[in-house]
Amino acid sequence: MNITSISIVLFGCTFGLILRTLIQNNLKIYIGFNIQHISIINFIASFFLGILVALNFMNYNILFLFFIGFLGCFSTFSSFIYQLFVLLQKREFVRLIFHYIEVIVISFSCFYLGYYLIQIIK
Amino acid sequence: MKIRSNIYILLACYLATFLRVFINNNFIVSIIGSLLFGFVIAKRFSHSKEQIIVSGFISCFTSFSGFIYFLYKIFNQEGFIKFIFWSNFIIILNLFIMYFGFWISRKIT
Repeated sequence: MNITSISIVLFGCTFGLILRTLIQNNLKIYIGFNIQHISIINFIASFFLGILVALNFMNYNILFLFFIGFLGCFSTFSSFIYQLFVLLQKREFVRLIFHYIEVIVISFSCFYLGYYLIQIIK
Repeated sequence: MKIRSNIYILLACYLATFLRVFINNNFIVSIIGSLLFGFVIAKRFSHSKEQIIVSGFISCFTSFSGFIYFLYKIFNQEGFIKFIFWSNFIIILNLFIMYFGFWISRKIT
């Protein structure tokens, strides 16, 4: 990695972290049931990832900026595991399984939504 | 104080990102991240310290998009059964690792 790549990763990181913090602190969505902030962030990240995969960039700087920098810092896997861990601690096993399936299914739907959106536009 | 705390969060995020790039393996990264997360939540840190470690470091260290990309490749190359196996295996393993980190932290304290 050279200085340009490092700067690009840092720029993507900063933007991803700020956006995650803003969504975590401000966005509240209720569609019949509460969607937790971390899940919303991960759904949005999956949508962006779908777009990125469909665009199939060969340019390393764009991959550094979006995939490693922005999406890497915007989405969070450990917080998703923590949500499941909290449910496990409370012994709410049905909610744990439901939440797990919900996150995986919606994330993949968002991913393919972004992916096919770009395929249609192309 | 808040500006200082935000700068520390940003620095922790940069450090985490470079560590992630250096390790370059999403599976190992997720395991380390879950262990650390479990360890940290069992400790009673101040709010700002917890923000720096959890929101700054661990959240930027582990990547959900990397996990989804891995599952997408498995789904495309090896089919639905392996996709189900790997997604369950990674999540259950990470849950246990987080619990292990939590348990160690409690034992130490």
